[in-house]
Amino acid sequence: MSQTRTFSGGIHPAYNKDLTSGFETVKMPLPAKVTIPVSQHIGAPANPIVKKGDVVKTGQIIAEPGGFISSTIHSSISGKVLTVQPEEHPMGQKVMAITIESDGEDSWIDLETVSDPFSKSPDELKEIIKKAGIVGMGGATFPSQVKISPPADKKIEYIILNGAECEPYLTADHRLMVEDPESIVKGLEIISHITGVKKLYIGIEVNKQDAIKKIEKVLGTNGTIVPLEVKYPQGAEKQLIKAITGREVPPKHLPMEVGAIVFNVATAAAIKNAVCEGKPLIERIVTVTGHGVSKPGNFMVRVGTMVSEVVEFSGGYTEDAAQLIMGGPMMGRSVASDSIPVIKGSGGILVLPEKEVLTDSWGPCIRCGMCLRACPNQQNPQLLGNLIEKGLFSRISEEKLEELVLDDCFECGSCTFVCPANRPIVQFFHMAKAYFRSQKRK
Amino acid sequence: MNEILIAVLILTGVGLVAGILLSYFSKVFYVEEDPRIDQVENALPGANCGACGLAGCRDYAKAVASGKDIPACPVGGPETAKKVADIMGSEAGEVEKKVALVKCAGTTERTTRRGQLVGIHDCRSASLIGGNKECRYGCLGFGDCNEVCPVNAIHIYAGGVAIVDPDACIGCGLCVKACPLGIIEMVAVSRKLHVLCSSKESALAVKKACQVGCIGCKICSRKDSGFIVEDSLARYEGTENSSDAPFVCPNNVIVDTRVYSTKEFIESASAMEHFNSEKETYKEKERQEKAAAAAIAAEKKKAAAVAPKEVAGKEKDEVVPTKETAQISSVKEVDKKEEKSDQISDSTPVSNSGKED
Repeated sequence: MSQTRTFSGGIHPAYNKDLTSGFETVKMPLPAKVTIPVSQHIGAPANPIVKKGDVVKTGQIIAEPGGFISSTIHSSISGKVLTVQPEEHPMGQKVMAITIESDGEDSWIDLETVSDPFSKSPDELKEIIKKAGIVGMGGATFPSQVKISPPADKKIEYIILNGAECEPYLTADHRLMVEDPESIVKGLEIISHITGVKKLYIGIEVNKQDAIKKIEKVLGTNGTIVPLEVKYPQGAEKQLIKAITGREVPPKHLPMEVGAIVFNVATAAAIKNAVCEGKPLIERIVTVTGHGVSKPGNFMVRVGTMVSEVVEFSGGYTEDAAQLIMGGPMMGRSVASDSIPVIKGSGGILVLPEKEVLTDSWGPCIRCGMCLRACPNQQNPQLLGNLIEKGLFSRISEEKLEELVLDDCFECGSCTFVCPANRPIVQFFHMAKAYFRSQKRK
Repeated sequence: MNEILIAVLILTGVGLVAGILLSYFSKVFYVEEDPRIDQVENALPGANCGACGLAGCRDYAKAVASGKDIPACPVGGPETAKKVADIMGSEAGEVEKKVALVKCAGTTERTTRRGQLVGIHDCRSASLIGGNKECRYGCLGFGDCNEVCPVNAIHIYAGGVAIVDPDACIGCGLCVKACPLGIIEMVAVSRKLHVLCSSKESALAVKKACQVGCIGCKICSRKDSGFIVEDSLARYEGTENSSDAPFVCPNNVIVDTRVYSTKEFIESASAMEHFNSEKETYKEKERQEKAAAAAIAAEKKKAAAVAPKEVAGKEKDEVVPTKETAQISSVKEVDKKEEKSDQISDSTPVSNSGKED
């Protein structure tokens, strides 16, 4: 095994992965009711094609893509459509959602299985992926059929699978790599077949030795496993590319600019399931973890299951549970209620007990520069954060903003993690980005 | 003595030369400027608030003087408009002073809260995660509007809801732009009835989230046709300002600013008590009126029951039929249509099938 590779910057938070990494994934029983939002991906929301009272089967399409960058949504159980109305979404807003009551039978639509995916043309496979509603399962939920079809003038040299899982607490990808390496590798081969790229890499942090061994055994000489240094945010797209290929993605550009496409390992497995078994993306592994739940673990959960039910299944909240976070502690979002559904991008449900929740007030910036050293993007969180705090961001011109490349910040939260003044720096960026988005809409 | 004389002479000399040069150049390089710009600028309030959409009062004056057709200064109101019109020698359009209104009465104790906000305490940030109230249209109370207000007319009292002081408000509209939820509206000062709610959610969701939310029941629009209910939310656009309207609202969402200021209506317990007792009196009066009306109706019914049957029969004949019966009757009458055509009008055909039979 070669030496570990990494990027510059980054932090070392407490990982807390041993809470869940040792336990096998448990299949959660069918929920009695699912609420499936039509917006579970980046891009335009899907358009519902079912109405109240319709009877649907598991895997049936219930919403069609609403644009080029959009995705298909399927029913994750069989039963009757109860309502089609705006419901609470994990992202905080109310979003149109389809609520389906289960008939308890879980009768599937007829699945089109393909025994030899390599006999199909790339375009056919792309269509299957689009129909199956596959999105990036690392959390960003970018529709896969778009990612897999780079423009003709961009030459793709590398396909990289992201098995870094640098986010503390979460072990969903780790368990998937240990339990089902075959699907991941098969998915990688399908992606390679579609794009015609032969340089295949799988990046895994070295703290997951069991996963590295399992994948190595299945992968053979078809690709290369790259052991990565254990550091946050190692699994971020641009940082992963830098670590594996040595190339730096220029600001404001996509990875394909340097000839690389990155997929999460779970996305690769989902692509394999879609192509070989005809199964659309209706379930995913969710890590329910933290010291605020009684029995942390990894669960195979149908999309649309209520978070409250998933937590209930993992033993319920402990007495001192205080904060519920969708995703990991670094990039996840704190939510106010647990009556929200699990969606395609929800890799984790984290419950923190009272003593671990940060409620301290924050102070002024002392200009120590720790955030500059931590920023994996070599940006200047200190300056940007101060500008935004002073409310100056509404007066920065569009050009100035481009110079500051606020857009390039992917909100990993490293700056906030290291800040000795407890400043909510990444929250400032989040707010400013939302502000500029709303200005653009106007 | 000599030194002083020399200094004075030099300075006077320099002053003279400079003065001559300056007056000469001011003639040569004179920039023609419309004198009305200064006059208009002097007539404006001078707050440089930017509510007109231009960069300050000078810009506005320039735009007016150049003859651009732009709306009158919203802050100055009719007086300023008249002054400007006099300077420009044109007719002043109808300008009504407008003030800001925060359309939410959901104080802390009246609303269901969700979660506890940690981190940045401002509305823009809080709105990103859906706010700290169950209601997505409820005032967040972190005061983004207060921050931009040039005259400090917005206050957040104990209830945690921003309230505009209509006397202090100059109507610049900056708070409307600052509110991330878009629940601040500019309303004409002549409007006395306001619906203090912005929630477009269904009645069930509103009931769950807030005690003083508009559920879109449309009772107010029956009382005063100036109320318009859309998306399960009422708004007032009438001019009648019916003083009974606030009493018919089941959730006490409508404020009559002739009786209570918005601040009293939202914050003051005694004002609410007074309102409730007034409402009770109104309801009692309405009940009595209803009972009286019912009594009269019952009397009439009795009278009708004892009245001769022929009268009743005649009345029946004059009843306008539904479309179907009209069609049937017209089919039946097809033979005699020519004779009867003058009796059957196109829009409301009168059935006389009874007589035909």
